[in-house]
Amino acid sequence: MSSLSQLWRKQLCSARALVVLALSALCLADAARAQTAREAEVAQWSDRLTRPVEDSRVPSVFDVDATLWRFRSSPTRLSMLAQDDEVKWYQATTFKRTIAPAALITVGLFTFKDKGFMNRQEVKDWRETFIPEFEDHSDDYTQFTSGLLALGLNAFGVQGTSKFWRATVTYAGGLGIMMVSIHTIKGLTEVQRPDGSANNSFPSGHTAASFASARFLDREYGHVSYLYSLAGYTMAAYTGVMRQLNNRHWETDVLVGAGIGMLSTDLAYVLMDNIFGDKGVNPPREPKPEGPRGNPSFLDYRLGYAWQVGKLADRGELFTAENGWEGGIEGAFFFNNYIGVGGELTVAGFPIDDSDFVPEDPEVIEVTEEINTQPFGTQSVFVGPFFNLPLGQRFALNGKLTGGWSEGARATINAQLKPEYQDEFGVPEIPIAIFDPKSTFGFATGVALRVMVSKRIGIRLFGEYNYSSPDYQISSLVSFDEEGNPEFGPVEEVVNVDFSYLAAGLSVSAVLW
Amino acid sequence: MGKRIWPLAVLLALVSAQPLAGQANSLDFVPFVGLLVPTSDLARSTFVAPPDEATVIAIRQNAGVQLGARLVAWWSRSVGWEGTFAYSLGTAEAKLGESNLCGQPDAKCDANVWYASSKILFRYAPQPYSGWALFGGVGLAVAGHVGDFWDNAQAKTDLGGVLDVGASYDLSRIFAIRVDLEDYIYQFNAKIEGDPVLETVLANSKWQNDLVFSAGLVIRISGV
Repeated sequence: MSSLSQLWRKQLCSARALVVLALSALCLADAARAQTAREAEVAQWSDRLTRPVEDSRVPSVFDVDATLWRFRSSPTRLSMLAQDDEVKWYQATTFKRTIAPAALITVGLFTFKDKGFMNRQEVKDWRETFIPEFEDHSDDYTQFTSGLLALGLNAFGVQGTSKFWRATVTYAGGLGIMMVSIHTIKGLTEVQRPDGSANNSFPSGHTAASFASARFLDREYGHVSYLYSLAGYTMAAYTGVMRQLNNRHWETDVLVGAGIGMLSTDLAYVLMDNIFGDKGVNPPREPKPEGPRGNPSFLDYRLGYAWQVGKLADRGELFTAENGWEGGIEGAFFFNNYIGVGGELTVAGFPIDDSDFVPEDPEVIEVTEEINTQPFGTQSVFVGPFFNLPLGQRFALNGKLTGGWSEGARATINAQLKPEYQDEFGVPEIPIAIFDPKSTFGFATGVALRVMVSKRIGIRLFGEYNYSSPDYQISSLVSFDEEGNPEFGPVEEVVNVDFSYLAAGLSVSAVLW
Repeated sequence: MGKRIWPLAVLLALVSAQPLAGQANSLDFVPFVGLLVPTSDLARSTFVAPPDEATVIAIRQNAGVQLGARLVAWWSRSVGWEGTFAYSLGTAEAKLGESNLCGQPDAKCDANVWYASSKILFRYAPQPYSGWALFGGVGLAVAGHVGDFWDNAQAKTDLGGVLDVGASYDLSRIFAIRVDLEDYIYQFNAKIEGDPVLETVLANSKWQNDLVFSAGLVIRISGV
């Protein structure tokens, strides 16, 4: 059962990596938006404060008292200065800009081990179990997408933080700092890539470039719309996940690379400020007036613990499901404050207790040390109505009733061979049965309590019930071909598996009001 | 390439440094040079070799020079985050019984160590940006062993922790001298394969304490 537990952790880990990156993206987008808005507000106030106030008196330039009076401190200015003095350390720009890369680097270093909680082997093992042939090179292009988008917007006249020449120099500077840092560390650390192709895995250059680009887009246009920031960091997270799915990088490489990428761009901004001062900086945009909130349309990433209700019981309860995990993305467009329509993509996995299972074939029993059954998983795409009940300014109760397509994941029962048979078969374990799932209809319903931690970012505590009951075609080991590969034949019986489960956990939402 | 980068990075930081307006939040770049002093053997184990004699194998990292850089984001006058990367040039020592394997003519015993760390720093400075300051830090660290000596080894990198105490003295509002004593704590594991003498060796230890004494130049770049 230990291997089942390991497999379960591997699945959880891949989802965890996605959620960590998604959380980072959302937090970064919001922090940057809030910071930029504050900077714009302060700049606007500074502009007003240096402008003489209207006065009917006509003072002489030699009249010191009168001149000072014209530039006197207003009560508003005094209150602003008082607020500045009261800025807490966690509200300071330095903290807001560095907490995300610091967290990514710290978590990344924590995964730099080959066993134990959150180790770098988990995603690699998960990939090799479920998608060993996966290959997609879109990450070669997505790493620069956000940066090129920012420069493109600038070239076509959309006013950002900097003029085109300064934006270009800043972006190039950030990429330069990133490349020097990444390649120096790569060369000195000599960490082998997961696919064994080279010894320059740590940290990930693609991921660093993509997060440097996302940070650039964020700092240039995050104050225009937070959707630019969200898009940039989502693209960067995609690049990081693809580097792992392509087996080119460890989880560690991706997380540390993301942190270095963001810091590189921030350093470039510092250097440009020091070298060029205000040259090439656009005047701050007028902050948008804070209007009433719109409808609570949202995008949400969730991860939770799942309890099997049906226990996946079948075949005389030889296999039963243990508690597992659930992760997913959901979003909804709200027509008003209470009702909307949306969809969700959900993935769940459950380790299997097969301790009561004994193979029927005496030859299999003879060579088998232990039976290892892969976790059973399900994925579903549901659509349906979503509900929202505001509970004051910060809290809301959410609900949903969705249904649609659901499919289980292919699973195998493996016989781990006794040591004396491993040389004979040339492998440590052989599959003895395969569960092939059929698509089916499923539905889900649930509630969530959401608390807003900033204007657009909310944390949700959710609970839900998910039902599906797919048929599985079972095939069992029949023989081995001439090359020693196992051959399977279908068992006539088609098993219907109750996949219903309860799930509870936390999610983070971007509320698009 | 790495050796050529450090002077360039230092020069760039010096050129771009601007005086601070006394703000508590700042970004510091700290290139440093240090001395690595490992305090225990990386591996020590006893095995029986023909003809039935108990033999002790011991692998040790020798003291060496360390070069590195720190990036410190001070979130307030007293709390900050520091990311560090450091590289130590050195050699290893491998003893099989009384014989020194690295003493043989064709022995490849260049063994370098790199450290990457992320830590929280706490600072006590009676007068900001003038005079001395004391600080301490704690965080996560990864140590990696590279070089000819480890060419045939696997799983030589391990997560660990780092403790740091230090002091700085301000030369100006931009520059300061900083000295540190760091203790990198980690558990070493390595599988050495294909060694002509030892064949396959599983090398591991209890906790390593690699001490690093370092001195660096603090360059306060600016706030971010």
